[in-house]
Amino acid sequence: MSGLSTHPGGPILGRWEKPFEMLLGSATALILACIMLLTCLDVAGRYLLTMPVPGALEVTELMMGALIFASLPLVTLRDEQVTIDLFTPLIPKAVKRPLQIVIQIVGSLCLGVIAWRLWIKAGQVMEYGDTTAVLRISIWPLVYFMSVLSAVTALILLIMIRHKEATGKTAGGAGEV
Amino acid sequence: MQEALIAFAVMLGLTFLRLPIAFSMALVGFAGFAYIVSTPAALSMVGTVAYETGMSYTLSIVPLFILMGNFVTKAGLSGELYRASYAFLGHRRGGLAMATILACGGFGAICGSSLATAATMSKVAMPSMRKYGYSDALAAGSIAAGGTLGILIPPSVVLVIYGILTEQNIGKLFIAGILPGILAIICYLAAVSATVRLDAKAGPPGERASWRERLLALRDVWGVLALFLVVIGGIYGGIFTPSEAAGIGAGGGMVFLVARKGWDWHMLRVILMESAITTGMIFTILIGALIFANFINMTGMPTELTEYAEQFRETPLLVILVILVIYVVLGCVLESMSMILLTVPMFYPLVAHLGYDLIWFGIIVVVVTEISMITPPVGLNVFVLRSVLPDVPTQTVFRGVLPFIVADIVRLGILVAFPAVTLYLTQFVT
Repeated sequence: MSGLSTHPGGPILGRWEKPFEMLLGSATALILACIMLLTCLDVAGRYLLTMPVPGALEVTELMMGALIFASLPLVTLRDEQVTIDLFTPLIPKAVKRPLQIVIQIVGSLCLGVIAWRLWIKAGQVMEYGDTTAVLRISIWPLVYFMSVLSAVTALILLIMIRHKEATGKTAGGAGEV
Repeated sequence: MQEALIAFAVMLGLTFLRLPIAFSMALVGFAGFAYIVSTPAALSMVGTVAYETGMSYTLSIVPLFILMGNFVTKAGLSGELYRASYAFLGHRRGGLAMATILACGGFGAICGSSLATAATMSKVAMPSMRKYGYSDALAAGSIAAGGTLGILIPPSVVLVIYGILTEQNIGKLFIAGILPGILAIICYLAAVSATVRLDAKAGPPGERASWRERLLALRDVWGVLALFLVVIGGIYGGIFTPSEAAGIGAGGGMVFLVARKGWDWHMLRVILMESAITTGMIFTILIGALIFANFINMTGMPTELTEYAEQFRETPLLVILVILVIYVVLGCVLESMSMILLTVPMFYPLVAHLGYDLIWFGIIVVVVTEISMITPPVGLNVFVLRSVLPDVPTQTVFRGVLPFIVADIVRLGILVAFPAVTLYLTQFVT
């Protein structure tokens, strides 16, 4: 539960890191707060006013999509993806650095493919004119948003290669839950 | 079958090279799917999984329960819980360790995470156990073990994920966790009691509290009790769905936090952001695991496993025992969430086919996972303690945890032998 992250070799994104974290951090905080408030209002409306919030379910769905993909760059910046460090001591020193570069590239490719497929999905959704059932909100802008944030995360993974070279950092985040 | 086993080996190999587990699962799942079906099909499968998992109403329960746990942690309800437990149990031999277990159980009732429970309680319980001269082994062991109650006693994020994977009623799963949770507390208390019987110096008694003090201390925990009753009672009574209960719980947690610490924009923002980041981390693993599961289903492995298990129809318990052994072994290298996401899609059709209740199996899986959280070499709870209490050697913590592992195995035996303990309360869920 620390505040903003601090990296031993300086911020990964240089002077952009603070504003970037501030922006995405505030966005995710706001979205999550809205999901919570909407759920509470919906229940309160149903029992106290016998009228639930119209479209609460679909708006929650849209906000979930935004929340998850907006948090991805932050998860990556903090190196909080779950990794297994059990066998790290067995990896020979000479291999460590090249291996690390390959791992970062592979991770970046994974997210790149997801970004690409979501981009195509967004195109389809726009073409079909898919909207939510009750409030008729267009879904395609959100899917483009999800795609772009996946691409940003893929990019951050690549930028981190250079950063990790500077610090030689190997420790990873552990899973929570 | 063969393809699936090779894929598993490759996937584990990649994670051992420190590729994040979410990416290993996604990569191997994608490659395997492309190999068996076709590359275009695999590409479109990846897009669909990411899209549908991202925008799911049911899954909104995950960030909301994480948020509730983070709110109550910051609100400092843990101190009151410990004081109340201490007032009732502190005067016994090993009483402070017993109070730790009980307080962990109480905290688990409003927090769905083992690590958070262990980390929070270590800050409250460790200083007083040190003051009374408890051995580091017993003190750290009781916190690490008590922490595992967080994922069994509802609400529990792991049970939510299990429920979504197996399409079981999440409300029922939560209710099913209550009696096994109480059983866990009893077994752990017995473990403490046995430890101090063997070595009286490990846990000297504290001061006896008067009944007046006890009642006063009890009054302080009304907040925890109220939150638990609203959330779980609401689900139990069918007043709201589990997702709604999570939202109400998070809202209630925030009210407590603001009532105690005042309105602090900065703190609220940090808590919300931290919860969002934890959510993002879990969903990355979830998406990776679902891609992997889609591939595993294509290999036909779950069906083959079910057919293979057919010959054990007379002795289905044998199959369950084998599955439990697999979990214990995997638990040595994997962390709990990844382990459940990887294995449950494979095993649950088989378990259902053998006539077992999937609610019961979910609780069993969580209990085995709990054991893996305190056993070497990847006992995550133990490592949390290491970071909170850097002066206690890991060896000591593992030694202290030993009696609790024995208690866990006893409990697992009881739960496997008597499914009624798990299922009794679920019949009343509407």
